[in-house]
Amino acid sequence: MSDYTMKSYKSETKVTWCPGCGDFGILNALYQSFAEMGWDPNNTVVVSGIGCSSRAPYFFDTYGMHTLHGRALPIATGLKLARQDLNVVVLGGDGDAYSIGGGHFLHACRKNINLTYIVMDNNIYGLTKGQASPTSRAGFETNTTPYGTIEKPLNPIGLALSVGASFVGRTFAGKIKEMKPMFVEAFKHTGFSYINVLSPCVTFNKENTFKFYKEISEPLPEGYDCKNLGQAIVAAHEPDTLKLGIFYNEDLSVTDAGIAGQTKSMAMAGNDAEITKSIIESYS
Amino acid sequence: MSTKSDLVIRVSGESGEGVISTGDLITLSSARAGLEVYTFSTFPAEIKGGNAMFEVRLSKDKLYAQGDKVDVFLAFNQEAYDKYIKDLNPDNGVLIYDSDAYTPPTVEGRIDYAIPFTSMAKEKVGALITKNMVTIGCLIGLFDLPYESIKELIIEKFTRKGEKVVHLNLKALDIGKAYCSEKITKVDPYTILEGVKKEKTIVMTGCDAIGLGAIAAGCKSYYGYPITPATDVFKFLAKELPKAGGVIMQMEDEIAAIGACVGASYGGVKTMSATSGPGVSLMNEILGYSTMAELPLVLINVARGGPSTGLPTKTEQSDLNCVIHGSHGEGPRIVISAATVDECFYHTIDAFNYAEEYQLPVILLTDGFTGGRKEAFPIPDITKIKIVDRTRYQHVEGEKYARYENTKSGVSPISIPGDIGGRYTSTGLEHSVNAKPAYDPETRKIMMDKRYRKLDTFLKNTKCCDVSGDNDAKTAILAWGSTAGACYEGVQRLQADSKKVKLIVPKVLYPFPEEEIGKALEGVEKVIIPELNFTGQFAQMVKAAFSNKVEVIQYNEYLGLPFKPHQIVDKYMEVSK
Repeated sequence: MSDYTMKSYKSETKVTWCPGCGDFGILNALYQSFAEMGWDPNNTVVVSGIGCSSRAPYFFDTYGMHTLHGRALPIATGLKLARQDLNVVVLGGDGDAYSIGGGHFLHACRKNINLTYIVMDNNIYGLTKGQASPTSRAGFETNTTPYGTIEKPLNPIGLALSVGASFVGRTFAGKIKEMKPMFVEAFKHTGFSYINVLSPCVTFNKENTFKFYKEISEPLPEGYDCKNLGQAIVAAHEPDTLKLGIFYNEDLSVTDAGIAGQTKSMAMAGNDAEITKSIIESYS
Repeated sequence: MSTKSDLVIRVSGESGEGVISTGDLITLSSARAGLEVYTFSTFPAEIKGGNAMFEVRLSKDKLYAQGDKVDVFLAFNQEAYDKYIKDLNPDNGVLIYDSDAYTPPTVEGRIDYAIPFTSMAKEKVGALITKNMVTIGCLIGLFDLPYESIKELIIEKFTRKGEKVVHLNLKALDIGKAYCSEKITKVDPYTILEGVKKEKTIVMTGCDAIGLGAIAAGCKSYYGYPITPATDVFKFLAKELPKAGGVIMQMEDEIAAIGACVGASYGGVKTMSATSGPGVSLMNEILGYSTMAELPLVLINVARGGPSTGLPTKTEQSDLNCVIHGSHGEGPRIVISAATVDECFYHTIDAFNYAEEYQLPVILLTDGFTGGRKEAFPIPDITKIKIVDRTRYQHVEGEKYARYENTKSGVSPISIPGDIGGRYTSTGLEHSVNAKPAYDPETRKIMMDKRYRKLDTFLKNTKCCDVSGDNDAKTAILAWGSTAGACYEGVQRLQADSKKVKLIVPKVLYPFPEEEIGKALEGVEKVIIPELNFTGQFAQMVKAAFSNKVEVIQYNEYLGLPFKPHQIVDKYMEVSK
């Protein structure tokens, strides 16, 4: 066990989420899992986009970046590649991840940079006070879709699996005990790890409640093999239930380690000025 | 024999026929032989086929622009002839054509040399692929291009392909040379004077020089997305940056590229991206974040013609407003330009230094013309280059870190992850000195003032303009970026003709260097501002500041082509009548 406790990561900033929000549980599980990892707050960066859940970096006494709507992943990618010594955790919501940031999500899965992405999925836009999100069910009625949405919801687990994510999991903010070990597994994974956490919005989403999720979700079956991609894709598309657990966990080649190795093996000897000089000379 | 101090050679033919490699070889060998070189090329936006053109101007003296007219035009096919014959000097211009391909009409005053390039390569050398070497050989025979230097270069270039290939190319070169010396009766007045051997130079494009400048400045991360004509910066750094221990990655779009730069910058690593107009449009929101969170980064804009997809392979200066004001809200940035290839190198270093010193985004605005052309410049002395690193926070036990401390200069010491006592969350929200979101009027005022105060500090510390020419001139020319070159030469010609003229070249475009430009305009009655855009974007700033003191004359071109020196001379003559 490390010398760090939950308190080591908690900032003095008051948490501004609505009482009863699923994100509180996730936040606590994150503090706990950071402590279990023994991460030095000075070497840990929490990066987020924009949305209710993206407020999270202020609640950590680590380094942090509260960035732009949908852009947390490329920003975290640039940070992690340039500073491979840091622990980088990216937090956000379903609108941030799958709508405005949807394009980046695909490529973060493909790039397999060694960082963790935890999405707090409440099937709604909370910060703008209740509009449909990419994971809202078809026909969902909100103030911008008063006659119901026409789109089918996006399947984030299936999406991540199909574009090459090497660690994919789903958990539920109501399962306090199950979140922490899954987060720890994700942090230990070498490569891009992604977890979708079902996190009810108590203010703007009266449908996807704690009760709703409790009823619709069930753990992945016993004997489930998280190295079997085909099985994972089937489980992700199971009708009528939402499976909880680690769908897929495979150590694939890691881009940043690869880049580090390449950089190291290619880097010339000498200080910056000497290296610059020899590069200049090769062009004269 | 020749009375001309310089020679402009243009080569044109089917893209992929060796036009560009012919031009490259002439350029590099001439530079090595001590000549000044200035190139200009166009290539089709199409993937394959279409017309390619390469132009090189050679001289013993420093060159600032492409020439007004082409002296020697080598047209491989009818299309090239039709397209460019109008640019040939009507007075003793030389047309060299492939007599195997077509026969042009005879024109009075023009000197024509018919040379069977294709059959010479095919039959005498035995390989059509050597046509460009036969061509270069012919040019040596006709104009005394530096034979030894070209031979050296061919050996260098082809040695790794084996002795046979080297031999074949040298054979082609000699066959071409012998043909022209023996079979062509030279009637034109052109010949290249011997170059002046001087300090060793480096010959590269503006884009390569930008990449090299980034490495010299200590850049350790580059995130990019391919776009014409900025991809050459990416290509250069993809090859060279890992050697300097830096990371490089192609991102999924320009938003991700500049986002990744912001991340690297937060991590304390010097970072850069390069793009062109459409990419800048996409990056603007994140540039605003870089301003708000005060994270240094460098963005290169190798501008092309806009709006929208516009003129991808042509040049324009129409992105100025976009790079100054592109983001929503009001956010200070620094925008600088580069007029020449060596400025691409040195100003990129300046861009990094400014970004680090003032903790904001710095944009180097150049264009496709400067980015794509080659120039020779003296090998930079790295030991004389000043490198600036951001002022880091030094933690004192028990002290609470104020990331955005309200300082006199506007610059607050910055921490990076790993620093003890420096933990903070960077934010795009308005924030207090302690980096906590804060929207109250007092905080807002303090922070806006602080961010803009950095620009005042910058202007106080920085020389922003080059002023040359006659101090007592009543007419001045003000030019920025690639347009400055044609103006340098235009001014030289005007002065040689005893005309009084002053030239003002701002390197810093934003913050607007009002004091320096004001000083330079003292006593000036009319200022001509040539710009490659429709609205006169820099001229508008000059008007806003000085329209009550001086008559601002806009001179706008938006044809996708750079200015030529004679246009500047003509405009001066028209204005000063």
